[in-house]
Amino acid sequence: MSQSNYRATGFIIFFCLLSLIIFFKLFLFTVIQYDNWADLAHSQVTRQVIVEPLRGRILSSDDQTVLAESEVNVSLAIDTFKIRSTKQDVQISKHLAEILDLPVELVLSNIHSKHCASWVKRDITPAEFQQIQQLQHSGRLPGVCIRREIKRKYPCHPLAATIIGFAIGQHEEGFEPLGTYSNLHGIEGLEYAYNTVLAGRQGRYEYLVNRYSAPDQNSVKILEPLQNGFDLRTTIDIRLQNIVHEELAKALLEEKAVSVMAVIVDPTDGSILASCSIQAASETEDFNSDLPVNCWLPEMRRHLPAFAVFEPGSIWKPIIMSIALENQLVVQDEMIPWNESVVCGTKRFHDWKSFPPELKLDEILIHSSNVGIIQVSQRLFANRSHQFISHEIKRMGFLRNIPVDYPVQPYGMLYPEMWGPISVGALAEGYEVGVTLIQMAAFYCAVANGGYLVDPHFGSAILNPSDGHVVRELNYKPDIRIMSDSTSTFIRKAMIQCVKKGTGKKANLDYLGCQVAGKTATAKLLVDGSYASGKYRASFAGFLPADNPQMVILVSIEDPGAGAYYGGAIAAPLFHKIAKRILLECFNDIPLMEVLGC
Amino acid sequence: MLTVFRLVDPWILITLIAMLGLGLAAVLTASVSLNPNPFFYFFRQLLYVVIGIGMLLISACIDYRTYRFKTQYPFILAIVLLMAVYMFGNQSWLTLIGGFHIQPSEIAKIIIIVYLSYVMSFDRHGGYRFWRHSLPIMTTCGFLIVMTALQPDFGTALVMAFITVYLLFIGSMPLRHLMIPFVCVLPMICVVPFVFSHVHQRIDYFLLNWQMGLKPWQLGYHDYQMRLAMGSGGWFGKGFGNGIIKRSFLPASHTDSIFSVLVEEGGLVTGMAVVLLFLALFLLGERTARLMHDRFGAMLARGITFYVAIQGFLNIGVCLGIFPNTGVTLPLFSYGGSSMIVTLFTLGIFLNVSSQRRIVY
Repeated sequence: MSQSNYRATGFIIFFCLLSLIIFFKLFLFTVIQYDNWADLAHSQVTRQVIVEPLRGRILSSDDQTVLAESEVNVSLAIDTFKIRSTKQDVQISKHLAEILDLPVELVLSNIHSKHCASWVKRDITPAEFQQIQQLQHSGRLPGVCIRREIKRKYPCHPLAATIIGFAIGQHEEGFEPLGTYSNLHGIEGLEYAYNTVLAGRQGRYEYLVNRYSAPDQNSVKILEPLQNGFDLRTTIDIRLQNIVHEELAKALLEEKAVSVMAVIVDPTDGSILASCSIQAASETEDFNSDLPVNCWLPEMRRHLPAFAVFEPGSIWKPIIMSIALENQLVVQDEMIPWNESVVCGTKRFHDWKSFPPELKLDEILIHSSNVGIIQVSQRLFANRSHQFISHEIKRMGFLRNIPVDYPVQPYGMLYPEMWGPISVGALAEGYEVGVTLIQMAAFYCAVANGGYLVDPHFGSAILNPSDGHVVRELNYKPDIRIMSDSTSTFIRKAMIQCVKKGTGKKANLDYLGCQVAGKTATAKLLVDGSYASGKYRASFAGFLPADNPQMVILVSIEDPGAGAYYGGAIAAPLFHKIAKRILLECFNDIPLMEVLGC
Repeated sequence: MLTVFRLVDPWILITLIAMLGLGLAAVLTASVSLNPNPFFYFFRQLLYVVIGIGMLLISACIDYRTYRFKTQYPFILAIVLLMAVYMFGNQSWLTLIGGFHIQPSEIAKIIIIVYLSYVMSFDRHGGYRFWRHSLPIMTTCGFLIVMTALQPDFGTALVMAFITVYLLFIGSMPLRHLMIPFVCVLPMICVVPFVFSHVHQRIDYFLLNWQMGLKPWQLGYHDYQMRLAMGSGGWFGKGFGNGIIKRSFLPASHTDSIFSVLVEEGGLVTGMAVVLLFLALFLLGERTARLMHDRFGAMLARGITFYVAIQGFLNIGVCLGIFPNTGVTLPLFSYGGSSMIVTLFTLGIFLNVSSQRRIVY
């Protein structure tokens, strides 16, 4: 009996030791390694799904025209390994080919591709989708999956194409074997500038699955709610944009120019109503503007009014004049002596025609006298340092990134430290300085609105995509004054006279009852470091109606090849055509006089 | 009958009730997603428990000394049933006329306990002779074990072998006699993994547990899912019915892997409670044995509690990767009719033994 008890005691110790080992192991799994196991368990029983947001629309200023929108597409993909493992590849390819109207061999070659997944057809029609869904429910299409894709569409293309830019899908590494095109990112233009507003936020959902990856419908948990992108209301007036586009296209052919561009800005707040550039396609490259923008050559995608830096020529003269007036170096009714020519450093500057021996200050602008403006410039350079002059030019709104809500653009060029004696004349005539057309337009807006600097911009408001209510107004109220009222009035009056009797006669719209203010320019083009003969840029800057300016219009023609090259001869008529069409077509339903405020 | 329950050790009853209650809850939560009707397995298990308690009441009322004189009949019955399985059955199951399935190896376990308790209870005054005493006992038991193993049901055979060795050891058989079957059987055991591929696979998976630097998901699927279920339980578990691994991922969630489900939903605390319940039953059996007047009762108490405890520890050890997979269920917890009824019947005998112990104040 006692021997039994001794032996049994041994077993009690054995069981107690075994219990201790079990406790240790349990503690190890449930407490020490808890995080590790819990993570593994969670990743095994749950699946995450990402739902792409709809990218917001880009609208014209009246919300009526859609410039860019997103569309949900349904595409068909196949899991090639799954199909091959079921040994039904021929049968499935026959079904698919019949529904999708594709050759059987093509579908079969997709199934037998070496990749684990491949597209069969992108963007299938609703009827096809329904047929495929029916077959899927009956279990005859294993390994065939339907994918929701978001596609970007530009209904007005190629109108305003270079302003809007484009957005394309980006492949997220390791997320999807096929690579969806849905993860849209803006690459250029407004799509890039307003990407954060337009993009929206991905929805992330989590659900439980069983061992066979079948989802549990009741277990869907929202990790991040889906948020569609906001709509962007732009300042672009589609009618003006259309007129500008058509006229520029005609002018490009008529004048055999390398490029033409034009911009219309509202001087009261700097909204860009229309902005367009057309370049002649180089002869070696086929250019088809119907292709999507991302298929264009990079140089064709550039929006020249904001991108092209050029020497402005005579439309620069009002800037020198206003700087001189603001610094009281000249007086408004002063008489400036005139000579045949004037010498600056080693260069003799001639005028383009002969004038009387004394010119009134405003006649310098009206007749675009080179010698006259150089006299003003000489006074400026005699009394002020180069740094001061360059600072004044910057104060006038140059050398900054505009449009302000656009991707970074060239700032322009100004090198005061390299100025020499010749620069006194060259700068007065609008050389040795690089500006963009929209920077020039911003200056003329200040002339038109009484001296306030505007910030040209494209964005007008951010709208809620579901009900169209304004979420945020984008305000760019001009509040910095760059010139006094009297200076701006002086220049405006000179510009009106310029159109009436000066160089810009061909822009006259008096017969429609609309007074136009304008300034012409003809600049030589710099080719490979020297001014080439016979290569010019003709420009015209103007606004209308002159007494209550509603729009500032600038046009510029680069290297016209059809004979005439003066700004007054080709740029002013182009301005005239655009302005006339705007007055007749856009305001034909209300009396013209009312529009013009007469 | 009431007298029996008045005299029985109350701690045994408390332990049994706790185990049955916890077991029913475990079956309920582990089997909800196995059948379209979430209570299908639970109600069947409830039925088995009710039948089992009936059997327990019957066996608790039969004086344990009754089994002393008629051990040869059940023994023959066990052999006949095992032979029937061998000829008509499917693996270890035998289908009866009513559509019921019984597992004769479960019955063989209790028969071997009663038989060994009987033969080891003779007082041989230390005169154990190998040819006369030890060899016949070991041969008869070995015959049953080998028959069970050949069904093939190695898990039950292993438990039966453990019980046999334990009872022979406790019954004061000389150690040198016990060594001889070990030496004879060892080569046979070594051959088994090479003959039966599933045994080989189980041992392979078990050895993965001890391989250094192995990623968890490189374990065998069953092992990995049991670790996931237990590891994600934490101190207090996910709450009753909130387990997720048990839903379709964990194989045999309501039978062999029920301990993992308990730990997933009840945490470390519940897991330790289950282990302590089995240990308590074993210690109560030992306590009862030491208070018995006769050797037969003592042997019965030790054998029955050892049988329940070793099976429980084997199952839990398998879940935790301490032993290779044996296919042994957790007694009183796992779903299964034969096992539940037979175990409760056996524990009824233990209750009867306990009611006739010396009362020590």
